[in-house]
Amino acid sequence: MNIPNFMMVRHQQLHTEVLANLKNTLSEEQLKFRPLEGMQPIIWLVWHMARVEDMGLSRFIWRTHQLYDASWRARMNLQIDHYGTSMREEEVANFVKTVEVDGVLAYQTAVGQRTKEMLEKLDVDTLDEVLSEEEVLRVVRDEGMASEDAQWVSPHYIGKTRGWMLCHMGLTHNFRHFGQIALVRKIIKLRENT
Amino acid sequence: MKITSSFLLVFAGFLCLTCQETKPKVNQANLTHQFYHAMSASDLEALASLYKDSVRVGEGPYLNVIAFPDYQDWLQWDSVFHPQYDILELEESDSIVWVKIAKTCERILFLNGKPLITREALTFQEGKVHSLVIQEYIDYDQEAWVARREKLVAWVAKNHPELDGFIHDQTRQGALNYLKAIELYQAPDE
Repeated sequence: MNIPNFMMVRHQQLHTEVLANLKNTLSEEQLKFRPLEGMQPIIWLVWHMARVEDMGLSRFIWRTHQLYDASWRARMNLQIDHYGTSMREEEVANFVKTVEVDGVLAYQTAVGQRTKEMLEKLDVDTLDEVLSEEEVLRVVRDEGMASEDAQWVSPHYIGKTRGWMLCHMGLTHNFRHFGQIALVRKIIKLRENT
Repeated sequence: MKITSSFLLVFAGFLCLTCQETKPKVNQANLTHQFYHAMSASDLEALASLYKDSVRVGEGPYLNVIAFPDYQDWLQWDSVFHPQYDILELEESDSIVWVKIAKTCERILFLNGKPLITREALTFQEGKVHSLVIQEYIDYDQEAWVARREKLVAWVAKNHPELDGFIHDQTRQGALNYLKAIELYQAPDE
């Protein structure tokens, strides 16, 4: 099994499962539900996963523009261009108030599809390349991938290989937040049954 | 009159530009030395003046944001072991200072058998430390660390149950119990 196929086995399953379950089993109110202050709602998690995958893979792996643009911004009804890490409580609360759920779900579908297409064209020889401080700061700080509060991520990325970033931003980051989605879903279901 | 006004405007603009250009650049290397000196001294007041607003410690993809009152508990716990942070290497770039740090204390010497050496990065904003990110453990004997800790915990549970639970107690008293446990464990048999 080659690297793109290895990635796609879990990546596509995740995207399909997330989308299928969300659209079919949860209402908009439930998607925006926050079990506790400090816990993000499912729709925020989906948005964040998609933004990290889109911006991270586009800029560090495919090395082209991200899918996100002014039209996606408008469809999601959000004024946020960074990828959401270290967002403050009031920012998440404002996100929940304004976000267009269908726009986020459509964006996530589009990002997942694009990843699949780009993986088929991936030059695996680039995966051993190490990310320089200059490249990371250009994307994270200058292009606005991360907010001011999230600039701590740069040292975390500097020195990593493109292969590490592909695995992190395409798979493990998504699965980490998928676990959070599963937890919030469980809480929603338990509340319904009590 | 018109010429004078124009001249004043140009002069004011020049002054503004000059002010911007002469704005002193923050000495990040100096702040880094102050930071680790404060860590060695477990000096919360000094650390609070060096950090931008909260304590931000990143490791892997995770960032802990800790309010100063909560951080005080951890500092008090750490201070009991007499920590010493030494900067072995320092490299300053645009907005990040990379350091190689050797941390030694009585707990680390017992568990690791030598100083714990890490590669860390400090990021800065508005002339303050914004975050500390641990990038790599360079000299950390995980196998020995875990084995020694487990042996200590089991030995204390059997021989000094009054100290049991010290390993999870990150208060000053918990640290004192930890030190006592190490001391008793290492004492020669009577």
